[in-house]
Amino acid sequence: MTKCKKLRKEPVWATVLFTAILIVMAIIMIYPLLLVLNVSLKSREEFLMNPSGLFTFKSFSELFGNYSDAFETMNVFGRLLYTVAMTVGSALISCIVITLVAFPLARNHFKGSGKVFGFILISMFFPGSLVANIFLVQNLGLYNNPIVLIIFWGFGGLTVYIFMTMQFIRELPKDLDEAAFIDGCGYFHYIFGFIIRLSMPILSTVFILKLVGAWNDFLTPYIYLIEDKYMTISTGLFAFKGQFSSNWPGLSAATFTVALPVIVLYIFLQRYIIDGMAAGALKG
Amino acid sequence: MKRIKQSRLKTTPLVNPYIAILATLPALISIVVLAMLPAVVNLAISFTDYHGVGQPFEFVGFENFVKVFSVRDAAVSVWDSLRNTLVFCVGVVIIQQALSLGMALIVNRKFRGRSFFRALYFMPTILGVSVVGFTWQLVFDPVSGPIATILAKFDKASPLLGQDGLSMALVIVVAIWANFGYAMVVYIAGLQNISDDVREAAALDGANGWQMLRYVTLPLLRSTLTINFWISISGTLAMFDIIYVLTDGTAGTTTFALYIFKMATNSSSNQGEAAALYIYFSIFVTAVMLLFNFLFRRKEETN
Repeated sequence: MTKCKKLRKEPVWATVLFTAILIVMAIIMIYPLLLVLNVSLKSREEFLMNPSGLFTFKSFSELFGNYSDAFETMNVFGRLLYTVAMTVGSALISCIVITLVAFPLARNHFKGSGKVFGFILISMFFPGSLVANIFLVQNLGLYNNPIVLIIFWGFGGLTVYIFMTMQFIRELPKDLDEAAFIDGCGYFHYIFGFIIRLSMPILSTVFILKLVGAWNDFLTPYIYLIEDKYMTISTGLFAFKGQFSSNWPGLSAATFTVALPVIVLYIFLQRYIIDGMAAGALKG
Repeated sequence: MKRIKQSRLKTTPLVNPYIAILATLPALISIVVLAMLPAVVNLAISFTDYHGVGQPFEFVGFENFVKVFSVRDAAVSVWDSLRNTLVFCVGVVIIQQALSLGMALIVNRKFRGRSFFRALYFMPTILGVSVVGFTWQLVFDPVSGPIATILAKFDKASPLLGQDGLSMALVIVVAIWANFGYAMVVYIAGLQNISDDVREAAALDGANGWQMLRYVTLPLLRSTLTINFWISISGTLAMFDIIYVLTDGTAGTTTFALYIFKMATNSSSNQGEAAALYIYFSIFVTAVMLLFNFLFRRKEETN
């Protein structure tokens, strides 16, 4: 990248104006979350008397009282464990299924692989239907069975990621394939031993996007599962809203608890997440 | 023997094609079962009066396709929901695209901290809908929310999300807040594809900032604009979860997608009608997208 000094420098008033816009927008983006954090640190009485002021510090146990309440009401620890297992499990399944299909298609390993690619492309134009999904889940006896989460999250919504992974695999050297196959390396052994490892840059993006998507999907568990213990953390937040009726500090603490893992993950992996999602848009 | 036979084919001779096909099966089966089968099942259900698992149902022909227009579910008709969809979609798409393009242009300048601002504006995109919904319910709380506090200073009060007319505007604000960062990132990716040479040449020819934008940047951003509008329109038409969390469709915020969602998840409603509505919905979305294609292509020709 060469610095182009010939480009006209922007006038001072423009710099000031743009910086002001940047800061105002930043405040609009961050304010609602700070509000939730602030309210979550207030006691209920404090919130009723002074809803808009900053929280006051009395003691740590009081400060995080809403959090311990929310953790108890929502059984956060157990639910977190369950949610992590379901989301990580299904994201891993997605990555494996995607690599398995992307490698043979990217390399044209069988006659008609182009047609299969077209078939996958066409599937994108089939409209989804909740009515049919509910019908299928209920009639296959999967209603209220947490396996539906793995099915929808792990095996659903793969198309865009298949294209992204295919594109990545095409850039990998073919010589390695041939060398490995001549040496007698089995097909699946090669995919799991080499292709998955070589495709880590794209697969880690797929994994993160799938993980965040599943983590935030509050509707799938809400629609197909009944029992409280099967609700993930996002769904739990939604389902337990009634128990926090007019208790904004409690609900704020619960909301912040659900948001925090995603925010932390985002702070560390924002480049992967943003680039991955933008790439998905431009290729999809 | 087999090796020799295969090597005549142009494809890699070292791979057994059947094993390669085997590898594609998990994905292909998932796509058939999860993406294609539901569309077929939905079509079948739309011709029946299916109410739920285990209940007897029979073939009713095209009855559902007519009935859906007369049913008045919770005082909202299909036509109301269509009008709401139009308001919601036009409001979100136009404001969101203008805002995200503007912010992309500002963020894409060379200055310190640009990746910080980019990340900050994008952040709501990865927050879950339930988190975004409750966060903004708190902001718009008619008693103790900050907006209510400001209104109270002017001796005014409003149910905000509960007020007809205003409610939709607020839902649009939240939808934009939650999603404009995504559109902005797509615009930034488009802007970074424009080479500095072109801009430099225009600058040497004496183009000022506005001329640069109008005659250099925007024309070169054409395909990104099309993609971004496409994503935004199709996404907004299908969006209902954020409305569901914010208002539950009260105060005139039930969009078409939300209307169908509520019908499909209501165990007492005729699933055949909900299925018929899904078919109308996909026809509606296809029509909008075809119209969009037609308009954007025409514009491309006139330019």
